[in-house]
Amino acid sequence: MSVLSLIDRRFEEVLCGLAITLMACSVMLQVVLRFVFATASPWAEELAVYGMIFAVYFGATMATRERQHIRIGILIEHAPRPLAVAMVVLADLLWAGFVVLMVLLSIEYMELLFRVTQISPGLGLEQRWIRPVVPIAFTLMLFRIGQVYWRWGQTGWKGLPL
Amino acid sequence: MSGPLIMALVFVGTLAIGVPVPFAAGIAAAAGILIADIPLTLLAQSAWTAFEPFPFVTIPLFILAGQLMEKGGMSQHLIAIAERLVGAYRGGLGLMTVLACMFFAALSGSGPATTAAIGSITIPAMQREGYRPRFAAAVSAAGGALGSMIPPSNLLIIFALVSDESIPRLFLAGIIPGVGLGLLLLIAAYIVAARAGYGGGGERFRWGPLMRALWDGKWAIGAPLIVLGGIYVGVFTPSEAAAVAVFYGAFVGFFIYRGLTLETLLQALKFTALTIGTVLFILGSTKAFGQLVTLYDIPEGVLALFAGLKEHPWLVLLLIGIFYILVGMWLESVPQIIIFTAVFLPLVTELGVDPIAFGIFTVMTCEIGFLTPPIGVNLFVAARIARVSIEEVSLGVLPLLIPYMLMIVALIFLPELATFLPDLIYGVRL
Repeated sequence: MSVLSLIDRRFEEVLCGLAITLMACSVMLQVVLRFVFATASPWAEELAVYGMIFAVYFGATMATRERQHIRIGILIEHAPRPLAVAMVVLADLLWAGFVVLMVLLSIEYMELLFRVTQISPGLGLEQRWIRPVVPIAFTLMLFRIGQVYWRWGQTGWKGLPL
Repeated sequence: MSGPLIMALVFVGTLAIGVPVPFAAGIAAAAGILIADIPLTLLAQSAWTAFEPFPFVTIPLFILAGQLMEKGGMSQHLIAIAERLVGAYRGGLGLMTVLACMFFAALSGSGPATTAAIGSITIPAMQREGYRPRFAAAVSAAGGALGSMIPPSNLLIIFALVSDESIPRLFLAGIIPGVGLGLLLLIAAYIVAARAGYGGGGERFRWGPLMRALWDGKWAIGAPLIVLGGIYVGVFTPSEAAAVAVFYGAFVGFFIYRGLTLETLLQALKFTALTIGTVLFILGSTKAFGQLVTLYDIPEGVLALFAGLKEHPWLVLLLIGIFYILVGMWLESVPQIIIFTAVFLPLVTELGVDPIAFGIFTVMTCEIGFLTPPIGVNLFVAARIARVSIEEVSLGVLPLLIPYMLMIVALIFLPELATFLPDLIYGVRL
């Protein structure tokens, strides 16, 4: 159980930390390589971009868990409680619906991608081994949205799940 | 009903009930795609390809660099320098805050980050000296907004990427308006402080202590010299300069000012991830948005709408400015720039407005959005540090908005404020 909760608390943090470090190091490496060997290094650029994309997507799921996504709360704050709860739940259902749509669409897109071989110019990596990060992250986000509600239930539905 | 109108209604409607901004944009984009009857996989495709342009990595790198420099102890040294310069005047701590924000803005590309870096030190100091919390918070929020005007600036990078303009040119263009704005803010803060009778009577200005503070702060002053100097001498691209800033910040933070520990480093990484996960994430859905704007010929429509005003570009800019400020009260700056630059840039270039000047103008109006409720990020940050309500800070910040308004009007009538430096260094654009 404690292992699970450790994964729950730290998974995205660790992944994002590594991805951002990778991004910073590969751009720095590019500078060094250019100064020392006077060569361009397209693979370093690619690695940096992949690091950023991983950090963006898992940063977004981490923000979901910590309820950090930016919302316009002015109507919710001024509405009476039942209406406010209804709005938040409806908003989260729409959000979850969009996430489900993105999961389905990106799986469909992956299937297309798996049929052709698309190799990245810099690292020579096949796109099909990297791009599935998008559906994976969106699936995790769906889980994180559910988790917020589970935690809300644990507190006896007090306040708002914000 | 037409597609764009439905998209706009869906976007505003979902935002109003509290769907987080990137997902509201995504739902609106999905609606637009359905109406236009193109395959929805466009959404899945842009969820990846939107992030592929390499220059985007500049933004997370500058966010991380700013975090490392703040936590590493550079902000204290910058504040010490500012204190020796203006500490003795009326409202000295307020002036010091603005000045320190100007210095930190040259290290950081973000307004809220600058507010946090400087305000977390100067707001408590002002409160101890008997300044009204409302003023203390307001002056930090207003000064912090300089963070996205004085280069480097994340918002200018976003504008550069959506408009296909050069990042170094835009950075150079931000210097005169940014510094000018800082000076106007100093004057406004002085007037407010003098009328309220805050502060004054600090140590008189002497060269000795200033020199000592400058010497102690040399590593902090070195950061913009290396980063911006490197870009303009042509040694680094902006993205490379951002990576250099990260490593320079880490080096100084760990070994020289020793503010960094493993724990604060991890905090900085997490903060960066949360920021890009909430703010940059929106690129994925707004890329499809941008394609729809072109598909529906929205710029053409807008052009037709403004046809009667063709003779008066200043009036058009003024109207766009007012519109941007109103939108900025409700929307984050990044989606605002991405969505509306696609709509308005073709219009203003048609009218003969320089795109670089329009970029500075756009970011300047976004800054007012940082400083106005209900979604003023800088106000949130400053109010949290000062432990006062948002309402309180938004009242305090009103007189400090005048410099921003003046600067926007000045940019409309004198675009050379923005274009002078880049034209001087890179030659006039054709």
